[in-house]
Amino acid sequence: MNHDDRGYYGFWVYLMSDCVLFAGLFATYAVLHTETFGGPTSSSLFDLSFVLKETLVLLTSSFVCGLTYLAARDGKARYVVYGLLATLALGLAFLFMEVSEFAKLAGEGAGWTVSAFLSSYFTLVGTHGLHVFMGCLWMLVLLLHLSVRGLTAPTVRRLAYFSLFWHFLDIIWIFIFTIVYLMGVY
Amino acid sequence: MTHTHTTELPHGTYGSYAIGFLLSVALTLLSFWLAPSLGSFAYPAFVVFALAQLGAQLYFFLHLGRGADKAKNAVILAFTIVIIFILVVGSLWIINNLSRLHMLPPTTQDLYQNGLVAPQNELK
Repeated sequence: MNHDDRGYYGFWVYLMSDCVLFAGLFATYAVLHTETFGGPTSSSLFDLSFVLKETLVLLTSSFVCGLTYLAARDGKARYVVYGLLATLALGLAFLFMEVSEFAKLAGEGAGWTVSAFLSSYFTLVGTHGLHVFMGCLWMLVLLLHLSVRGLTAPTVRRLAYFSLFWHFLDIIWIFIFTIVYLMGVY
Repeated sequence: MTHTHTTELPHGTYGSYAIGFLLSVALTLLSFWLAPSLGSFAYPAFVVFALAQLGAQLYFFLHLGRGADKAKNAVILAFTIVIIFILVVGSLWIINNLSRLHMLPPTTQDLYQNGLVAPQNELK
């Protein structure tokens, strides 16, 4: 097993451990989602057409990220920069939408201190958002690498790990929009 | 030299990414637009569409089952699924059991004022 394979396997193991972290948060949400303590319920709070837009933004960003890695593998440095910038812009757009949704909920008197349901909701969705934020920082570092050193083999490998991470966040989001939003409203 | 190693990492093609993307968009729209109109089949449909999208993204975006390490990656994924199952199903099972056991039976006062033995319900 060469160095690249070890790194790839190690990163995969990290992603799986992150899955277990999210499983804990999903279990917490599943247990607490009916405990509204007289406050707003999930079906009265969530705006599904907004969530659909968020979903499509994140999905597109995941797709562009995959194309960026392919461009890196083929040695097309210019397209890698464009691809990363597009992925970053879509990631930031997703974060902006999520933060504005959180602000709207808090403004409507549905902050995280209101009930166990809202605490578990903000913890689960916010942890995903924190991962997206860290991914955005990672992209900035990658862009710095690209501008200083160009498209070297280590940078291509880092891009491969980053695209795994970014696709993984989209997979977590599938379960958030299904379990929290769709099952919460219907 | 390391470039040849890099190309050994699992990767797709532009075509496979496009298929994965279109499948994911289609499954997302089915979840949001079709599934809610299915009445009592809505929940099973949510689950089916989510698992289908999980499979599509694992295959087309994360290249599971391809590349040099495919067996090891799949083994640790299977292990993770077992852990997730124990964590989620176990939590729900235990907590539901607890809340059922803590739900107290009607008090004697309730039984007397409203139940079968209440004065108005007493057999004459």
